[in-house]
Amino acid sequence: MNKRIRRLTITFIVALTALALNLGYLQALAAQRIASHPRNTRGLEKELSIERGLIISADGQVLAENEERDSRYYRHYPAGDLTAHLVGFNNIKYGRSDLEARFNDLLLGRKGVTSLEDYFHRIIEEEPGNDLILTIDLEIQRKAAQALGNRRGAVVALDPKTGAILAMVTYPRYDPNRLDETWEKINRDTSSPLLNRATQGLYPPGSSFKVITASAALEEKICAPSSIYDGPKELQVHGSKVTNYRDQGYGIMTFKEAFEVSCNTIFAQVGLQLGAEGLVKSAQGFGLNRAVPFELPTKESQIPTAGEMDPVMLAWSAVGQGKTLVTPLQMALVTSAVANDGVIMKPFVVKEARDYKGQSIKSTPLARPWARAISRETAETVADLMVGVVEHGTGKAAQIPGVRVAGKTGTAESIKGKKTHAWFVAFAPADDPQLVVAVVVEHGGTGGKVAAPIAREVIEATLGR
Amino acid sequence: MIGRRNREIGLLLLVLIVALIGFLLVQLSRTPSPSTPPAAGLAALVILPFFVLHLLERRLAPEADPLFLPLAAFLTSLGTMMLYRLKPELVSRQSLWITLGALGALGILLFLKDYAKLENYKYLCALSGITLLLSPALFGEEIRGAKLWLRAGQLSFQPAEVGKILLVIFLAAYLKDKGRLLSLAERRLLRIPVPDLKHFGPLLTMWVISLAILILEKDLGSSLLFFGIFLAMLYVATGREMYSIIGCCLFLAGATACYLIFGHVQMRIDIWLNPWHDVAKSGYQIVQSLFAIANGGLFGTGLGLGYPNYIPAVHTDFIFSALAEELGLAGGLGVLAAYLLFAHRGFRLALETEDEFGKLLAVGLTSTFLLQALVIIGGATKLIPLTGITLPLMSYGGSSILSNFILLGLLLAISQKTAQGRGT
Repeated sequence: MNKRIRRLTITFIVALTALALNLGYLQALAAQRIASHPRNTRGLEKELSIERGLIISADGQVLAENEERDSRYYRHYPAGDLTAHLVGFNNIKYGRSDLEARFNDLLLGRKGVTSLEDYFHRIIEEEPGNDLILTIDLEIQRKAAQALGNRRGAVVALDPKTGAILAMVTYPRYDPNRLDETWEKINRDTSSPLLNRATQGLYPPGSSFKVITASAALEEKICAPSSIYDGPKELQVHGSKVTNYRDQGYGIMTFKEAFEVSCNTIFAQVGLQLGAEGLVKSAQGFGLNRAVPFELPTKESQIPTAGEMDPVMLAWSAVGQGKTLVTPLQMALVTSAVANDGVIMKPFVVKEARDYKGQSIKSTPLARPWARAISRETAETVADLMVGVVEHGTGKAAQIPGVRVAGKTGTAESIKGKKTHAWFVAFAPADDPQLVVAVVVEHGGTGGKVAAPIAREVIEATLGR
Repeated sequence: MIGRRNREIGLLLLVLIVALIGFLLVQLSRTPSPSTPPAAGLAALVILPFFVLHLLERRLAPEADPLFLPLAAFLTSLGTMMLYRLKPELVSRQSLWITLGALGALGILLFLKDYAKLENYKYLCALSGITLLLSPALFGEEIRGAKLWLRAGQLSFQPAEVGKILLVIFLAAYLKDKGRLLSLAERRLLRIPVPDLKHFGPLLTMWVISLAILILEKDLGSSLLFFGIFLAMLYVATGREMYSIIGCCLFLAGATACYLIFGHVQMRIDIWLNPWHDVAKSGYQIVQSLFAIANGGLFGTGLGLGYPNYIPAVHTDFIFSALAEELGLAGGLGVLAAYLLFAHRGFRLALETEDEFGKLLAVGLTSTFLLQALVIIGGATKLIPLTGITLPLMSYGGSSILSNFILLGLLLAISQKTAQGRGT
């Protein structure tokens, strides 16, 4: 009988070994694969149990905070829709977006248990994640949103010397605190409230593009501010005609005057002198046809290649019409090259990350050049041209007593029968630029009447701080 | 032999320390609330019955094996610790059952020290065992698809838990008498000795009973368990592999028939074959168990830092998965090792015991203990189809705790008598 008992024991040992091997398979070999199954909500649950870091504006306002319910943390956004397209949302149902998505790991802090000491530390209290400090000034952001009002469009304000984004407003917006009630609606809405028009809205630049055309022409020494041109009502190019806004004729004037009044027929001539090669190369130097390195998702601004451009398209491209499409952020960067001696700084919106003890943990130098668009001399000359626009050209609405403002209007044709897009790009003060502003109002009218006053308000708000 | 008892108390103290640390960690991980009882007190409360048992053992069973009690204490405190982590409100009730269980084991040591007496009551055991096994089919209440429970007011009871011990006693006594007879081979089939057809009576009877459990109570786990215990004991008693082979075939045939006839059996098997097919509904429980186990990895998430409460019935059938999540492969293997060691001592006891009834009883009880662990851990880890039975001494549940303590008491009694008999 003892022999049989031994055999039975061995049978049981074999069965137990099979269990142990299977357990080893599940917890070592296949663990990663099984745990990462999409239906395993442990990861999400884990994140809900961590006190996510705060997101704070440059002026110390909390933009994303936590509400604790049943020892889970849920996000609340005190600034509501005002910062929705920057901060984004973090939601167990709808996922996460923008900075909440981009810096998810940082906001959550550490993840797995790393040591015995760490475990003891964490069963007593889970460490909160890291805070993000933004470059956004909530006061400027608010003023910019007020100035834009409920007109579709976007406003970008940045510091040309560093690339720090000071304000970034888009309209229409959504309230990240009310996703449950509005999710269906904001996804269906044809006005796309979820879209950040500042970084992802593509618009024809209109005459604001003349900043690029002028820079290219001056850089290539095609002309000087004092060069004399004839600005007729219309210009024949290969059987097609280029016209001015409201079919106005300007007659003989200098290049500087042509920039100030935004004369298309003269800029078309300059464009033809430059050639497609020269114009496109310069535009690409300003960052078109390149992905903008940024913490938020961006769309790439586009200009056709030189090979695709016939003289008609070249003439229209030189005045910002045709197939060129740009984002407001891109136009702000173009303007920042003029304001910053020809160099575009890499834009950024997160200036610091701090752990829960207040120690700074993100220390990479933030002010980094992204592109040299033009020479310092050219930048200074174009800056003078832009000052002229505000002092006695199309941008008078951006004048501020005691401050020299440099700017350029744009009035972009879009769909036939619809109102033009109103553009204004500016920087101030002209001799020591503190900020660059780019404004677009969809189907708003002319840049000088509609967009320039918005830019003025943003400049006033910023310089007043 | 006092040396054995001193080793036992040493090991029990070790278990107490482990339990104290475990309970304290669980308490630390939880946000303090006045309703949850304090950890240190709980750990002490859970271990206390074992110390009391130990003290009485010194008088009643001084030479019993010193590993049974500490191993049982280890498994019980791990189980209660996980229960404290998962459903703290159930801990006081569980510790009450542990105390009752210890009293049961004590009762065995007091009144059944001479367990051979049981042989005289074998038919009473058989009758009451089968009645208990089948009673839920007649008066029972269906919980989670299986009819296992008898309910009297607030108290619900799983009679099968005690029934299986009575049946083991009966089988040990019956097979002691009839084992030699059953092992007589009178004919050969393909040169393999085959017992006479009339000796297949007991096998067929047990087969019918286990099928009755499966069909009437929809309980695949208990059915498998009873038949498994019977086959193990039959094999040890007769030495005829043919019984085991034919038994397995019979069980498979029965189970296959049930698979074809009964929806619930079919569903169980289909879920086992592919739980990922319907993760949200039918496969939910086993998939959550697999997620928990996988999430644990080698060393676990740490006590209190996992999410085992996603698994339905985690504190009864899936307590092992919860432990594997928070203590990892290391913890899971630790638990398997404890069961292995327990079984090893049980079978060693069977080897050492002189009288045949004691041998068969030890084999039956040890097999019962280990088979339960194999069936439920195998089910929770998807090695075999999932069947809802409790993990001995670890799962929450009064009947299960009570019956396993009685099992422990019987093993201690056999062990005492064996050691005494050998005069060591």
